[in-house]
Amino acid sequence: MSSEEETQQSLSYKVHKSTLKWAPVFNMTILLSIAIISCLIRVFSVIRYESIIHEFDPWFNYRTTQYLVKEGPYALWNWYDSESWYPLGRSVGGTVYPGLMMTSGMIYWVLHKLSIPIDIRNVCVFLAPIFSAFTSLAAYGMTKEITKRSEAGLLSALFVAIVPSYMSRSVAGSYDNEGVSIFALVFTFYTFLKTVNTGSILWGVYTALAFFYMVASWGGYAFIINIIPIFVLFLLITGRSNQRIQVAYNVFYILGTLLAMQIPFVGFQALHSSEHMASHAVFLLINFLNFFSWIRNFVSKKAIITLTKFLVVFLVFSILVGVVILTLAGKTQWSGRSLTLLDPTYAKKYIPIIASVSEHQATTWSSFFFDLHYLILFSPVGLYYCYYKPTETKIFGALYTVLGVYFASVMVRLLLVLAPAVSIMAGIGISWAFRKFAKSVRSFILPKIEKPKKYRIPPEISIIGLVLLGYYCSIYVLHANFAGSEAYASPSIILSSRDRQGNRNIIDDYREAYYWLRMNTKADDKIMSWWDYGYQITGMSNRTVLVDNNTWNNTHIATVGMAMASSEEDAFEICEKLDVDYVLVIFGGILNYSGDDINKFLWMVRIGGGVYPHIKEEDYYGKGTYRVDQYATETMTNSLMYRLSYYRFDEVQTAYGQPKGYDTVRQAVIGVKGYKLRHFEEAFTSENWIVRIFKRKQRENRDGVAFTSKQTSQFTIPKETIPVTKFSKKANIKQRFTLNFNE
Amino acid sequence: MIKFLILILGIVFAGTPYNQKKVLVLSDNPAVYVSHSQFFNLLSKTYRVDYKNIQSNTFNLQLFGEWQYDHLILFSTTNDLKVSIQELLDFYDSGRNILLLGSTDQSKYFRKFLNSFGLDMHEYGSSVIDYFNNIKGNHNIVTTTNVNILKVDKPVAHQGAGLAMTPYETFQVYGLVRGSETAFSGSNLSHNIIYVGATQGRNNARFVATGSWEILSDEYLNNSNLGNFELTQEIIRWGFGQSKILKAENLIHRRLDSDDIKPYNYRLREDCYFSIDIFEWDYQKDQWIPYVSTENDVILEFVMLDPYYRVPLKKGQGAKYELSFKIPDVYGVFQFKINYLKPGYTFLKIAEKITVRPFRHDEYGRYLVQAYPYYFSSFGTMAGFVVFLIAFLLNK
Repeated sequence: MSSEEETQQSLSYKVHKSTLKWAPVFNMTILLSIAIISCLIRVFSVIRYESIIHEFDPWFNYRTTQYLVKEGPYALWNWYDSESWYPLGRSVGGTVYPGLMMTSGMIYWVLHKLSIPIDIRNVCVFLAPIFSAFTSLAAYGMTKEITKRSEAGLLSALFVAIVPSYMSRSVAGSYDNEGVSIFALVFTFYTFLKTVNTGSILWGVYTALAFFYMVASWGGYAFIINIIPIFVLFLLITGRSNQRIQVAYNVFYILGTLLAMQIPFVGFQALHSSEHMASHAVFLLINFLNFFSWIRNFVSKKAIITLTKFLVVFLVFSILVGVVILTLAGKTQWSGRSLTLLDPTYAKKYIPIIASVSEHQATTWSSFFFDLHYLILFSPVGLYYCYYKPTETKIFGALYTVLGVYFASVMVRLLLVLAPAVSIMAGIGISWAFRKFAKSVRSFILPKIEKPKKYRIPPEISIIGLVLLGYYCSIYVLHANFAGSEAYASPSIILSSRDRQGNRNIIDDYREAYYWLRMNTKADDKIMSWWDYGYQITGMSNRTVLVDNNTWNNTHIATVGMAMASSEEDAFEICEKLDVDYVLVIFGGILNYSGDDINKFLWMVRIGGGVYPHIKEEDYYGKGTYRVDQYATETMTNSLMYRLSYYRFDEVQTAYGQPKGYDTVRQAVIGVKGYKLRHFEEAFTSENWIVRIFKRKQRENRDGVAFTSKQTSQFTIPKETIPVTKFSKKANIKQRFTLNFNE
Repeated sequence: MIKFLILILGIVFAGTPYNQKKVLVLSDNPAVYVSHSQFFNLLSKTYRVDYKNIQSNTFNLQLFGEWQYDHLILFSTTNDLKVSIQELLDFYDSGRNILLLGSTDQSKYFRKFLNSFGLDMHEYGSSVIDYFNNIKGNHNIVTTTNVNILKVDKPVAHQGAGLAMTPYETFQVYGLVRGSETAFSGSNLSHNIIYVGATQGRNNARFVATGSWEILSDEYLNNSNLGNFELTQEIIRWGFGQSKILKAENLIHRRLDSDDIKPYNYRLREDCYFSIDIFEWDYQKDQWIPYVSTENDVILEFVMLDPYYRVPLKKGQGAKYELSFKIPDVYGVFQFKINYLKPGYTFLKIAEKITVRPFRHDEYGRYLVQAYPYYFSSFGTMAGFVVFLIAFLLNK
C-alpha cells in the first residue's frame, strides 16, 4: 500500500519535476502560439470578403502610404493635398501622425530590398494583425513586470490577443492608427515598468523611444503623457517615491518631450498644450522635492522651515501666475476632444461635430460587455490583487485600469485604451485564482512539495473553481472568435446580407459608385458629400472633395451642411460658389440600410446651424419629430438632401404590401412625390440605390420671366409677375452667405 | 501625383464670323419683301438668306439633330408659328442668333417668346407717343437719340409699340434704343420705354427685338435725316455676331522671376505674373485685332472662396493685359478669375485654378536673429556638459 503510494508519488514527482524543467519551453511555445492566433483571428475579413482597406479613415492612411512609398518621406512631410478640403486644401505633412505610414513604408522597402515584390496594399491590410501579435508579446512583458509571474503574463497575452475591442480596430484591412499604436502603448508601459523595476537609464531611454513611436502614430499618446505623471504624483503623495522612480520619470519626461516635438503635428504643442501640462508640473515637483531633500543636508532645521514656507509660497504663486498668464494669452488650451473627456456633456453643448461621430458617444453597457466580455468580471479580481500587496508596478497597473475605465465610459472609441488594461488585470486575477485553486489541489496530490497551510481552500471546491474558470475562459474564447469572424470582419464598404435560403449576398454599391466617379467624371471635378465619405472618395475615386473625415475646419463642414439643408435654389448658389460639380448622397431607403444621409441629416442641420444661424433644427421637425412622410415640414421636403435622396423614389415598390415610395428605414411613405429637379440632374444611382450621384447643371442661358395665368395677353405691371429665377430672394441669400463666410 | 488640368471656362462660344452663314427669314406677309427691300439687300450682302412663310411646313430648323440655319429673323404676326417656342429657344441656346421684328398686335406666341428673353411688349394695340420728339408733328412717329451699344449718330425714328425690360434688369438684357424722356405709351407712363431691346445669353448668343417692324422699312431707311439705316446695319452686325465680339487667349501665369509658364504650384508670398491676350473681331478687316478697353475695366480676381485681389489688368503690348502681384500669405486652391461682362460685348468668363502651397520644411529662413538665444543655449549646454564631464571624471 505504502510502496504503491510512494511509486505513485514518485511518478507525480517526476512529472512535476520534468514539467518544471520544461516550463520555459512551454512558456515560449505558448507565447508564440498566442502571437500566431492573434494574427490569424484577424484575417477572417480577408477570407470572408477580400484583401481590401476598410471603413473611412484607413482609406486616407492608405492613400498617404501610397504617396509615401511613391514620393518618399520628405515629400510626405511637405505634402500639400489640394484634392481634399477644396478650395482650402490640407497640409497633410503637418496634420498627420506619420507612424503608421512610416511603419508600412519601412516594411515595404525592406521587403523590396529582399526582392519580395509585395503590393503596398497587402502591407497595409496585414499590418494591424501583425502588430496585434507584437501587442500580445508586449502585454506578456508588461504583466510580467507587474506580477513577476509568467503564467499571469501568458493569460494576459492571450486575453489581449483576442479581446474583441482591440480586434474591432485591428482586423486585416483596418489600416488605422490604433492598429499600431495599441502596441506602442502597451510597449511603452512595459518599458516604463521595466525602468521602474530596474531604475536603469537605458530602459528609460527605451521608454522614451517607445513613447516617440506612440506619439508618431496616434493622438492617444496624450493618455500616456498624463497617466505616467499621475502615477508618479500618486507615489509622491503616498510616500512611495524612490530613486528608481525619479530616474524613470526624468529620463522619460525629458527625452519623451523632446522626441515628441520632432513630430510636425505635435511640435511645440508638447510644451504649451494643456494635455502636456501635467507632465511639466510633475517634472518640476519631483525635481524640486529632490533638490529640497538635498538642501536639507546642509541647512539647520529652523532655516528649513522658513525655506519651506518661502519655497512653497513662491512655487504656488509662480504656478498660479504662469497658468493665469498662459490661459489669458490663449497660449494653452484644451482641445475639444480632451474637454469632452473631462466633461462628457461638453461636446453635446458646444461642438456638434464631435458629438455627431458615433464613436465619440458615451459607451453603453452592451458595448462594454460585447467588447470586453468576461474580462470585465475578472479584472476586479486582478485589481484587488494589485491593491492587496501593492508595489510600484502593481499600482501602475491598477491606476491604468481605473483611469481607462473612466475614459472608456466617456467615449466608445476609448474602450480600445481600456482593453489591454482589462485584459492584463483579468489575466492577473484569473492566474491568481488558478494559483490558489491549483495550490490546494497540489497539496492534496503532492503533500510533500506543497506543505499544507492553516487555511486552504478545500480541494473539491478548488476543482469546481478550476472547471468554472476554464469554462468561462473558453466561453470568452468562443465569443472572441465570433466577434473576429462575424461582427468585426465586415469592411463596411462592402455589405453583405443573407437571404431566406441562407445564401450570402454581397452588396457592393459603394465601390460601384466610387468606380463610376473615377471613370466618368473629369479629373478635376469637385464632389460634394457629407464628410464621412470624403476619405473614400479621394481614396477610391481619386476626385477632389470639399470636406473629409479630417474634420479640421468646422466652418467648411457647416457650409456643406448648409448646402444640404437649403432649398435647391439656395444650394445651387452655394454649390456654384464652391465649384461643386457633383453631389453624392447615401440613401438606404430601398435596402433598409440605416446608416444613410437622411438619418445623418439632423447632424448636418445642427452643424450647419452652428455656423449659419438661419438654419434652425426645429424647422426640420414635422409634428414634433423628425420625419419624411406627409407631415414633414416644407423646409425638410425642400431641402437638397431630401430632394436628392428621394428623387424618383416614388416610382419604385420597396416593400411588399406597401405603396410605392415606402422608405424601409424610416418606415414611412415619403411626403413629396413626382417632383422634378431644376438645378441638378441625376448622374448615377447604384444598384441598390445606396449611392446616388447628382450633377450640378450649368446656369440657364437666359433669365426669362413667366407670367401668372391670364395676364400674358396684357402688358402687366411688375407686381403680378413671378420671375423664373428669383432674383430678389437670390440676392438675399447670396448676401447672407458671403457675410457669414467672412466671419 | 496630382496633375493639373487647366480649365478655361467659356472663352468664346458664339458668333465666330464666317462669311456665308445662313439666315432664315420667317414672315407670313409677302409685302415685307417689298417694303423692307433695303433691309434684305443689306442682309444678303453678307448672308445666304432663305425666305419662308411662317405657316408653311417646308422648312426645318433642325434636321437630323443639326441646326440648318445660323441666324433667324422673325416678322411677328397675329398667327402662331408651327415651330414650338421651346424649339426656337433651343435654337438660341445652341449659340445661334435671333432677330425678332415685333408689332403691337402680335400673337400671344410672340409675347411669350419675348418674355423668355426677359423682355416684354406693351399692351395690345398700344403705340408710343411723344409730343416733343417726333417727325412733322405726328406724335405717333417718334424719334430718339438715346442709342446704346450700337453706333448711330442721327436720331432714330420709331413707330408702334414699345418694349419694356421685365421687372428685373440684368446684365444680359439691354435697351439698345430707348425712348426719350418725353415718350410714353398708353396707360404706361414709365420713361423707360425701349424701342429696340436685346438679350445676350450666357453662351453669348444674341437676341434683338424691335417694338415694331416698320422702323426697318424702306420708308425710314431712305430718309437721310434719320439714323435708321445705320441702326439697321448695326442691328445686323451686332445681332448676328459681327461686332463687339471678343476672345481671350494665351493665358499665361508664372513666377515673376522665371520663364516656366503655368507652374505646377506656387508657394505663398511668391511674386506672380499674369497676362492674357484679348482680341476683338474687326468685321471690316475681317480679322482679330487687339481689344483696347479705354476704361481700364478688365479686372482680375484672385479668388479662394473670397477674392484676395481684385485689380484691373494693365494694358500691355498688343492685345496683352497683364499684372504682377504678390501671392497672399494663405495657402489653398486659388483661381485667377476674369468675369468681363461689358454690356454689348461678348462675355468673357475665365477661371484658371492654381495651387498655392505652404513653405516646404527647408524653405524657412535659417539663422534668424531672434533664434540666437536658442543657438547659444544649446551649444552652451553641450559645452557645459563636456566641462561637467571632465570635472566629474577628474574629481574621482
